Amino acid sequence: MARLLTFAEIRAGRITRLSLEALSRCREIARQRRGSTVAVAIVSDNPLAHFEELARYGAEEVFAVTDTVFASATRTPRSAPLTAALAGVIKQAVPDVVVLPSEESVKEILGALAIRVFAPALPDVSGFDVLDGAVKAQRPVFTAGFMAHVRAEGAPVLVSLRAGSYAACQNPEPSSMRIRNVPFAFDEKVAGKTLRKVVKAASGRIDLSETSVVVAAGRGVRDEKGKRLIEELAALLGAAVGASRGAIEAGLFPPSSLIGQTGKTVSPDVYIAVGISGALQHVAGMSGSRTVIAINKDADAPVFRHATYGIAGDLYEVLPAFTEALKQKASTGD
Amino acid sequence: MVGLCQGLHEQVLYEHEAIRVVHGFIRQKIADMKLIVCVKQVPDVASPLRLQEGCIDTSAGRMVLNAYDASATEGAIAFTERYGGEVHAVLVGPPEGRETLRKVLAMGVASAVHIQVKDRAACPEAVPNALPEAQACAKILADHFNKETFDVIACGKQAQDTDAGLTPAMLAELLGLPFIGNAIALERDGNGRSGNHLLVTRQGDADQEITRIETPCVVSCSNNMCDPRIPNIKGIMGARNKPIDVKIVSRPAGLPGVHVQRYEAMPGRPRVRMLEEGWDKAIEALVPFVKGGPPAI
Ligand SMILES: Cc1cc2nc3c(=O)[nH]c(=O)nc-3n(C[C@H](O)[C@H](O)[C@H](O)COP(=O)(O)OP(=O)(O)OC[C@H]3O[C@@H](n4cnc5c(N)ncnc54)[C@H](O)[C@@H]3O)c2cc1C
Repeated sequence: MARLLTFAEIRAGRITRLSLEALSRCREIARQRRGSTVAVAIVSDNPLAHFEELARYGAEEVFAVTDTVFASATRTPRSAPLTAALAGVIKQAVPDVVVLPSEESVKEILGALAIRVFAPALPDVSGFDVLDGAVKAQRPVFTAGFMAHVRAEGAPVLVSLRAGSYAACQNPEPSSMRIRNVPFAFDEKVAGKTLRKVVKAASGRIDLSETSVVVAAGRGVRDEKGKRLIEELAALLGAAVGASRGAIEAGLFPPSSLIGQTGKTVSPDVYIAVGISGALQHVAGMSGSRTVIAINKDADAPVFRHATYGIAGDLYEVLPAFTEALKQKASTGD
Repeated sequence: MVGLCQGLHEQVLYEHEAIRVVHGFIRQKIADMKLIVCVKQVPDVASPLRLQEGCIDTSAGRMVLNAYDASATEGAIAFTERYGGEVHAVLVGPPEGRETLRKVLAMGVASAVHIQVKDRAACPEAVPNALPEAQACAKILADHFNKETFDVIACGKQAQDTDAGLTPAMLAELLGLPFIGNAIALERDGNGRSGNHLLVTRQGDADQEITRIETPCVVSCSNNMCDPRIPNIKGIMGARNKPIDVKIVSRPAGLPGVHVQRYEAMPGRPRVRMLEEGWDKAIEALVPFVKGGPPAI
């Protein structure tokens, strides 16, 4: 028996897919451990808007923190009120395990939350299991060079989960949920911070952790023409566009598309690496992908050591033909 | 913008630039800041590390300054070059960590404190088992900083060995100070009445946030903040005369426990299949995604 609590992060008005993956994993654990319960913490100026989706993903209990400080246009950076809100939920819900999506917003506060609720934290895990009074997890470490098998004891144990580690599954029937409103008061003055400006990434981009396919560009993509080729392939696949540091330094892709040790971790069904050399720090962010297709003109590029299928060739020649061939194959329907 | 890394900032920084002009203007009036960087020595992830009975054998490799801490150090030094002030360093780790402190001293840090932990674990090869875990490390640092004066504590956003990234926020929480994580730019905010604020640009999940934060504060730095300088001969020679203060502390007790049970190799991939023109296998793998296509977002 375990009391599981997840945190549903909201971005651009929607619960992130990674949060739903965390919730789905908790439901799976609850099914295996009889008598377990799955609750969700939600922190928003309007949590109500997300209840239906949480029910579809099988939440049994929702701990809602409602405050305008969590509205999108606010002068208070989210980290301090979010830490306070989650600590409040944990106090009320008394969970054995808290599972959070390993996104930048969570990475920024996980340490503070662990101190505040006096809990051990297992950050950025690629898998976890709940035991009696403990959590066992796997964490890629050393720039994803090794897998650490870790164990933490206590209640609660805080866990943050990497994107794509588990599938997000809806329930056949929406669950009936108990809603708990968690009291919350936050004094903006104590935060010591005011948000001056938010520099938005270009709108209309597909979130990297939301899709089954990622097309990632490297320094080999050197101009607008190359960028167009990447975007055409991505559009055909409904894929998100990612980038290596090389491509971002070239100024062609926004910093939020960085994949790797510094950037985001993705584990899509298919990862297409185009003009990327395959540096350790990049591979750290994509090595969990199920199928990897690498296109590189250097047949000895390290990226091929991390690929399922390799295409040695100039991306400016390969991509147009590849996208066309894929279009053909898909439309002939075999 | 201090130590801006090409391309890694969203394009719309013109308004931000205007703030910079103000700094120059009032620079004389505001007191210099004292920045302290927390640095860690880690095995070079590019060096040959081998698994031995569930431990990572680092003896064949070399130990280096954690790359994110190198960026924090560079960011702090560049900050003081721009606005005045001084940078000091703190390292928690075994006696061998001294080499890493020499490195940051050679980069331009003025002095260093080397905190060594008594009774470290028996098996030094079992890195990072031999080092205090994040909460212990944060506690050791907090005890140290409680007796220090400073304006800014700058840490790397994570260590390349544990890849955990917990210590900076833990430290801020223990000290009761405001914190910003994953910073990509540090500037001084010279807003007349109170010149003791920073402007920190942080890379979030989608956007970049520019936040005004009061000092003293803690920030954790991304390597996208700046490329660390390579110390020159003058810096290396000068570092020899800079003070390193050694402190011996006990391992904090009674903290929530996280244990590494063992390390394993990462699940490998079968050897790559190089495809010839036509690329049938790759096309086949992708066709299902063209047809159904995930829901548009
Ligand atoms: C602490 C730290 C953290 C880091 N974090 C990250 C991170 O999160 N993400 C990240 O990506 N990097 C990260 N890096 C940087 C990383 O080490 C590499 O420098 C970076 O990934 C290189 O990017 P790239 O592969 O695009 O460029 P390059 O290494 O320059 O590779 C370009 C590749 O394109 C190929 N190419 C060129 N032209 C063509 C063409 N016409 N057709 C086909 N192929 C072509 C070349 O053969 C080459 O293999 C980090 C580094 C450090 C020190």
